[in-house]
Amino acid sequence: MSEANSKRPAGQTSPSEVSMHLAYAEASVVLLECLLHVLVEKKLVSKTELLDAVDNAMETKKEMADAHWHENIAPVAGAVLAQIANSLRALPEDNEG
Amino acid sequence: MAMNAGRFALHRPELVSSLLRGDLKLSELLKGSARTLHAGHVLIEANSEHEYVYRLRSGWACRNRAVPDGRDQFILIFLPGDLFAVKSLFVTRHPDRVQILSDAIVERVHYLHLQEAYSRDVDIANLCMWQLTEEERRLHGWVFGLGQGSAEERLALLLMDLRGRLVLSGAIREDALTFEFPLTQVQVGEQLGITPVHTNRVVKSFRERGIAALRNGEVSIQNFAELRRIAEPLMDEYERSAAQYGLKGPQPT
Repeated sequence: MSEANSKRPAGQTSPSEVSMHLAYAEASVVLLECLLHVLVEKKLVSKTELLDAVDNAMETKKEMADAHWHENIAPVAGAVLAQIANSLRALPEDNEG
Repeated sequence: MAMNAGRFALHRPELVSSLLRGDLKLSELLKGSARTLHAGHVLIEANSEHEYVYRLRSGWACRNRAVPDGRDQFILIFLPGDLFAVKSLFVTRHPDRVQILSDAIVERVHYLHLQEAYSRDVDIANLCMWQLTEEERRLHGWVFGLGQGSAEERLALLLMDLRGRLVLSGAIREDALTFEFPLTQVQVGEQLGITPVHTNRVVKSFRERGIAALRNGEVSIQNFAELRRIAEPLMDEYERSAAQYGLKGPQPT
């Protein structure tokens, strides 16, 4: 990253390393959710199977939180997964594979 | 802002004149209180004591609930002519936030002033009660939509509802198919109970199928009949029968 900084014109700063990690994490979730929609739309995975997978992720996250892994982040991550699950439930039923 | 009788959804006919008088009397109470508020302004903080009741003269506002884990749900969207925060008459604290969505002109009256008018004037009391009844109707419809509707049906209902209410308030013409829409896609998702990704896909699908386009702060309905067809399973009896919601609504030219 420092190499990239050296190529920037004076006065321009690059995002911090933390911001870059957050940006990649956010982009990953957005991309993953887009792909989930494609899978359902193409009838490669049913809505029920997809919801099972997200529920699985939520349960895993809860187990991690109960074990005091990333205590500050875990509830927010759980909420992100809950939002995705609720949103997927609003897919039309006839899209199921 | 003058009201017409059609604005009072499902009202008892014998109450119309009282409601119209109540509206005029409320205008007197609100006189001189108008102020301009900018988009993003928080009018009422969540879980705070609040002493005012408001009416929107122009612009949009919303009531929403945000929780510490990052989830945020719109509860109601207020449009021009709407009386809101009427609960200030009855409760000390507001559990949810009220926020301005687009630059707005807002009038207000202190709850003690309104309480005095409410207890001596049945027209004012009827108007306040009707506003709470109307909010309940909208909330019942939205609970059904969130519990039973698909994302597409929810978006279609939202657009039908907003358009119908803007027509009824006189903010847009009866045949208008394009109107101001200050919500971002993230806020649309917060209203519909879906993620920004899902919102984007549904919005894109509506645009590509020539149903409606949301861009540059406005919505343009391209196929009213199809939009209504999608929304219909979630529409309540009032919305199914009112002309502003489509039975005699405009058709694309």
